[in-house]
Amino acid sequence: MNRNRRIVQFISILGFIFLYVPIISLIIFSFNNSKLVSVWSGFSTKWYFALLQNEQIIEAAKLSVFIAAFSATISLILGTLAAIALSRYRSFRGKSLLSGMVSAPLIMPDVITGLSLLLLFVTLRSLIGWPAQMGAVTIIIAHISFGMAFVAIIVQSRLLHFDKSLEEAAKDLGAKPLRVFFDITLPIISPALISGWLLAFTLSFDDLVIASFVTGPGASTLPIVIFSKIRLGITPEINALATIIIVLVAIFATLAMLQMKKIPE
Amino acid sequence: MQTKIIANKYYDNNQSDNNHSLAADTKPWNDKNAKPFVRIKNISKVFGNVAALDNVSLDIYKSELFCLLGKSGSGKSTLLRILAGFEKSSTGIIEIDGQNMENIEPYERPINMMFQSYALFPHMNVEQNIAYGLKRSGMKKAEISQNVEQLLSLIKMEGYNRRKPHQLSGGQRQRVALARALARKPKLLLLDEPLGALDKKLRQETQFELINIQETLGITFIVVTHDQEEAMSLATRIGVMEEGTIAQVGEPREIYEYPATRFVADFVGSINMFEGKVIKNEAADLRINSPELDVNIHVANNIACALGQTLWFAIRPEKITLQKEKPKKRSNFAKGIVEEIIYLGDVSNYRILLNSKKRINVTRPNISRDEKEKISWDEEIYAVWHENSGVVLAS
Repeated sequence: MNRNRRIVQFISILGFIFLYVPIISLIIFSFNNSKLVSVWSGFSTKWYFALLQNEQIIEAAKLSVFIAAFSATISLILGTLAAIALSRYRSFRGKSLLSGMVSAPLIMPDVITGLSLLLLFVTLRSLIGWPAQMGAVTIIIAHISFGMAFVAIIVQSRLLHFDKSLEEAAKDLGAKPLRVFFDITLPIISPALISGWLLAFTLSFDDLVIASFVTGPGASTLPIVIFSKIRLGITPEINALATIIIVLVAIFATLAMLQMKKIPE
Repeated sequence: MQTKIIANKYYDNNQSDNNHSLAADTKPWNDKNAKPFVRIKNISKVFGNVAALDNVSLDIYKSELFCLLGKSGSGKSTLLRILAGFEKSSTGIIEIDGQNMENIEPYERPINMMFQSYALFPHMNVEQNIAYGLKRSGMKKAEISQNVEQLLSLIKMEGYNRRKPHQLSGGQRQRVALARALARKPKLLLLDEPLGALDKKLRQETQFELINIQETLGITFIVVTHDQEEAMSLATRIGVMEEGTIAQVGEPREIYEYPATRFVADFVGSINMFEGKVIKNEAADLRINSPELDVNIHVANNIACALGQTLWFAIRPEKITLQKEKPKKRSNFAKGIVEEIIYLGDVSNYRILLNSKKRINVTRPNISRDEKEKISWDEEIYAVWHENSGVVLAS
């Protein structure tokens, strides 16, 4: 017994090392004094300050946050509507088609999604003259296309476990349908909505592949900037930026998970 | 008794004439001129091509505690949901207190429902749950909290205002659900398996509380249940449902002692059934010959039937007596061997294998502790009954 447990412990420690040592070393080297990435020469926070001076990165970060927040919000609305349609209405024409189409972006390779959206935008431009230029708007549209899929899946699974008699009880006690939605349905599914939004935000924030297909001049998101910078070699500045992103993503992921836990059985 | 006083206080504030509970000797359903409070007329409900309800008509009177009893899928819950307005009937009319309920939305009906799952709002505490219906009717805050306090004392849960539903026990949740359903002072309260989720002991206590509250408030209750014991102990009348139709309506005693069909006889309580043909049908003398018995069945009243018609004679296990010596009479007994004895303390259940290989059940109170009177396994025995003890069923 004891020996088995030791082995399990040993293997899981190996697993954690495999997963987290690269990230931890990145965090440690972001505090390196030296300009050389692989040589430690003392503790310093100067790369963080350098980062704050770097206009390009700050602008890219602002753009990324804006795009992530905007696309997550639209994804939330569309995804929730899709989830309601899929879980609440017994059957309608094309239900299984919609169900499949909603979850398709989850398994579609990013390259394909990016490429097909690029082709769409190019065709649209030649047909109706819009979008005149690739940029933030096209990235937002692209991010909504997969963000809403994630929201729809999360909200749908919540709605499937939703006891419909709760809504009937509210109706029975004198609440009109709209009131029932705001008093009962919305508060009960809100943890799923919040975690769906957070997930859509995170996915949009760290998307590189799709964004690089549909971006245009002047619309460089943070992942695009980082990727173009590391082609010139990894700098401690990038390490510092990566550390900040890791912390932010960790906070968001934790919040999303806490919200999921709130969902009553 | 405390419940009674508080309940009076709660209801007398606003309604003065509903305090007359249904006295045991007033039975409006026996009075041809009594006006029914709930009138269900020719209700049918079709789902796809399955008829959940088939032309159901039912009159329920004020202050009744009416039980709809049936197996799952018998249509009882559908009928309840049509009454509440959650489902629309395919055909038929429902009137409550003289008002036609067609096109009246659930939130406008003078009805409240207690759900099987209780459906307490998980994000609201006990007080908010109970107050929800009152808020919707636009009651002032002070009045609401006064009402909530009275309801909490009615269900003996003072001080639980701030608890969330998941912090309550099953019995407490059930009581909060009841209080919430009563808060709007409905004319009619629908209860879907109100005791279904409680354990046996709690169920019995709650049963009496429920009857007590119902009697004190004088509200008409319609209870849906699949548990015949529950129906027997709660109801003023029972409507037994079978495959979307009402098989029989009657007082619990009537349903048990005089079931109208084989289905009712078999569903309510347990019963022994013999199939046979009529060989004599004269005034107070009906004789049936059953191949399952060695002697004829003799019943001391007659029913409309033809000679040679197939009938069923049904008799409850406790109405048969067991004796070791052969009876002197020439009908109404059966000889057999004791195949199984189940000792339950107060009574014992005997399974007797008759000569015809048919098995019958007999329940016998354990009156004597004398070993000599004990009936044991494999013993030859006579099962005997009185000519008034059984019922003859034509369908």
